[in-house]
Amino acid sequence: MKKKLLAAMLTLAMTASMGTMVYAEDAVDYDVENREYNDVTITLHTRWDEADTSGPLYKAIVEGFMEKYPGITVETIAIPTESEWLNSESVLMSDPASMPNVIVEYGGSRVAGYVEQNLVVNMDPYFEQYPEWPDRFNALGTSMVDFTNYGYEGTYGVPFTAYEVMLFYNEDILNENGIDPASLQSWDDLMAACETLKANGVQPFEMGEKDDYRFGHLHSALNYKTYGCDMAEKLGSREVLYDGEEQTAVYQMIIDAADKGYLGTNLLGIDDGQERSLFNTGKAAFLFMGTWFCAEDHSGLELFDNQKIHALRMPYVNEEYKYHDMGGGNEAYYAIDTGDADEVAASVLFLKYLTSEEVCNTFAAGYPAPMSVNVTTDAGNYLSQEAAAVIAETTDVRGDIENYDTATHMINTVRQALQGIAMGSSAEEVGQTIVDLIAEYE
Amino acid sequence: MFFKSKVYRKSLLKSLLFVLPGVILTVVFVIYPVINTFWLSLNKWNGIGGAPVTWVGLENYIKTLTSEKFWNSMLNALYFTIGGFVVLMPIAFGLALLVTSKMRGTKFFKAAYLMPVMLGTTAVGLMWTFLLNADYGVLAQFLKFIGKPEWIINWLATPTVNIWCVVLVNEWMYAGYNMLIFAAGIVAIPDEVHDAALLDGCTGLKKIIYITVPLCKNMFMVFSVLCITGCLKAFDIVWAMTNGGPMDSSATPAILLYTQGFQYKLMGRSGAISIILLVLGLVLSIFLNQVIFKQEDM
Amino acid sequence: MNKYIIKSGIKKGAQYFIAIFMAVVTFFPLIITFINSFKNNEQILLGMFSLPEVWNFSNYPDAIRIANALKSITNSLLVAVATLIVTIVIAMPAAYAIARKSFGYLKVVYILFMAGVMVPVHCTLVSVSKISSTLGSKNSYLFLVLIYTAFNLSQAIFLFSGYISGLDRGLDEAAKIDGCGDLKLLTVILLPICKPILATEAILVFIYGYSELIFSLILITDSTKYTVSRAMLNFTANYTTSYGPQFAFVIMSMIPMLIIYLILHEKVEAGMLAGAVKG
Repeated sequence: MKKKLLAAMLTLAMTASMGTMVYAEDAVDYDVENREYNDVTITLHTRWDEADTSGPLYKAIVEGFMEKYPGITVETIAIPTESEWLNSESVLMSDPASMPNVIVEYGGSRVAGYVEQNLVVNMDPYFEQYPEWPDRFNALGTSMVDFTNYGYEGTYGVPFTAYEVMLFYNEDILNENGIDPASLQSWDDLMAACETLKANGVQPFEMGEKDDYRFGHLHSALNYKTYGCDMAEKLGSREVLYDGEEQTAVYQMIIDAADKGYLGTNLLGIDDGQERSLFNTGKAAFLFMGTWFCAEDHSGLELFDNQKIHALRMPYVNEEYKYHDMGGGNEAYYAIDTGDADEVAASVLFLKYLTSEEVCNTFAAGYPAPMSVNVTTDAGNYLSQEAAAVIAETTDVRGDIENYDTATHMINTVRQALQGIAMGSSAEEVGQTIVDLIAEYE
Repeated sequence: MFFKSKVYRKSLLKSLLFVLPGVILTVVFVIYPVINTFWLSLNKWNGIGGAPVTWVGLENYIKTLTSEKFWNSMLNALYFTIGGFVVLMPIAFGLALLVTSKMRGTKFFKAAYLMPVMLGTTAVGLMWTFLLNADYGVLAQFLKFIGKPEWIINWLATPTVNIWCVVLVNEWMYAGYNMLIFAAGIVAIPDEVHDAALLDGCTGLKKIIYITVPLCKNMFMVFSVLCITGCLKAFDIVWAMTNGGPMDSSATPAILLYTQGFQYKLMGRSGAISIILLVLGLVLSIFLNQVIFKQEDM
Repeated sequence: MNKYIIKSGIKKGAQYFIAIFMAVVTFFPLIITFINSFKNNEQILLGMFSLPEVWNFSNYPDAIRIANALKSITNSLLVAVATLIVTIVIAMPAAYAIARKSFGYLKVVYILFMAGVMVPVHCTLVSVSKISSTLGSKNSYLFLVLIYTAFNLSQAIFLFSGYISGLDRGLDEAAKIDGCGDLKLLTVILLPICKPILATEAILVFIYGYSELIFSLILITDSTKYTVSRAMLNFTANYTTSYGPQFAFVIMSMIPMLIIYLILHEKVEAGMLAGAVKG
């Protein structure tokens, strides 16, 4: 019985895959706009958060799309907590039958793994079909859809929102303590300011390292500010080692700041949400955060109503790399090749709709964060405009440094090891932990 | 003879029909996944559908058994077990003595103690995470109130302390449930035994030690089996409170197999941990069952 | 004599003290959570002990509106009830056969069920997801209920077969002489006798089904079908920084369980006692 079933399934699978192969050789229809869609259902796997400002905006996009193309139904899986979102994606991507049609991801080695298995739709032929489409994107998100570093030609996915990690400060607190924000150019300047604040009984940062991406981001940003953005590729190819001199120096910078109490009073006890709400209510002078912070709902907060929060470029360690920053695409959308031509076409069509001018403008107006797609809207708050001015001068950006490594586990491994700093690890121990785990997982 | 065999066959067929639905469900959702996991544990796979699955033999087992993270997680499972025997068992037994005693209001107390088990792990975990917050949590505020703010540490983020916090919350949740197990044993002690003990002048603590505890031996055995097998698999309450962190310090083996598989994408490694856990659990429960049956024979 | 009275008085006092203390330990966290569910962020951050200065009743409507709390609670109740019914319907005949028939293969079947207790649930995720997508049963409560049942069968069959073994076989014989078949014997005679153990298992399965997270996370993707744990998880995500509604949701998720418990607690206790004796 089982054998029969298996045989039947095998035959089915073979004919199905052969079907698509024949189809692929004949003529793939890249003109997704003028295709007939009858009752096609696509599934989106996202981290959208209904409770966030962006939540209703995303929802409106999906609804608008379904209204415009009645033959397509879009189902959304939205899991805002990072670990559960990731686990869900892993489970669904483990088998061709369960793969979603579009996933939201951050580029890097995880997506490269999917590209390697030919699971991600290459957008280039579609861009040829619609030459004006690729012009919609600016350079910010390129790194998320370009996998030439991994050895794959083509454009995989479309970037959507973008970010840059910045230093936000509370004007009132700095004034009271005689610190001129304009003087905060280098990391040393910042540390000196922290010393003054601490001496006056004011907490400089309240980082929420319970979410271990906080030190992860600090580590990435300090790398780019010290050694330039090239460090991402050097570290990724293991030309530079995680327990080498350069990296140990970066860990030490974080350790020095943490040991003096500059980074927080309860590093492992608060998460990034609490971190922001402490800063928003004047409990910390600085906030080191991505520009998505500008777009969050700050209604009813005095500091924002009075425009006392401002954005600064992340201070440099090495002046040469003043304009090198952590940032880039914040999220990108990848169409997954499920083998069903209708679904793939509908997914690409969704990406096209998502990045179209009107949709992006509406989105950016409601959620004033930088975009990887060109938008023409002057809506947005004062803070997002300040951030935009900083971004405009940036010359080079990279995302999470661990993501340039080919091993998928690196982002977790490195972030976890950095979390050790909050638990008293030395710089050597951090490096050693990472290297040991790399060896263990080889 | 023929007649008997026909009846026999009919009866056999009937019994088959009775167990079949359960067997099918178990085979499809439990046994098949385990076999699949066992297969993966001998291979290397990054968890992506279509990606190559490479045979590596016992490598995953060797690397797991020599990995510090794995042994740390086993240590945490051991803490769970120790907590079960040192904290949960005495409390549950004490509560059982209380609710079976002649004091007034035992009905209310029994109902009260049993209540936490009804609340659901996610809700309980979330609630205690708030209560144990070092900034605004109840414990922190209490320590500030009694003038010992220096005692406030980040309970859920300090290795060893965090796993014990989770263990204690677990005991909070299950004390009432285990109380019922012991209460059942105490209630089953015949009245004559109590009377005889009273005549011999055996009361109070003495009576508990020499009469009640030995006569509840079976209940202690039941408790041991539930406790050990439960502790080995502990996941939900840990995940709800600490996600196993920071740095996997509060991870139990079940947490580790989950994160290694779905975050680190080391499916082979995750499979090896699963199989080790499964085998260990089977061995332990067979061993304990043997002990119980031996006890009953005696 | 006098001394004895004093001594027993102290003993009694100590007993009541401990009993009340433990009750306080049990209720205190709930009361604190309840109080804090009426505060706003600033008040919570000031410390959880104090009573709210302003009672912020809007936390409850907020949780209902943003996290769809009521819908998810209803969903969970539905799944939990379905799971407990299916579990009993499948486990009871199997337990009966195992306890009362002497075919050799049944021993193997029993061991198969028992081994299930030790399987770490999370190692089955990839396979279960695969089966679910092959059958096209994403977002299907039926599929979810079947999985929940599969993972509760070990315990149910263990408890039921243990209980039935402990029953007098004379009952069966008498029924058989009266012309009762196996099915009738099971449903008409044994089922009523097994009430206490059924109650136990029902409650245990109900608790499991109501609060299970991992499978519902993987298999239920339609937000209108979210179960309580899943919805709660979404609600405590990174970007949600107001705590009051989260407390409110925690309290709301507990209310159905508390109501069921208040109504049924004596049966639950009796059932759990029966289960424990046999187990």
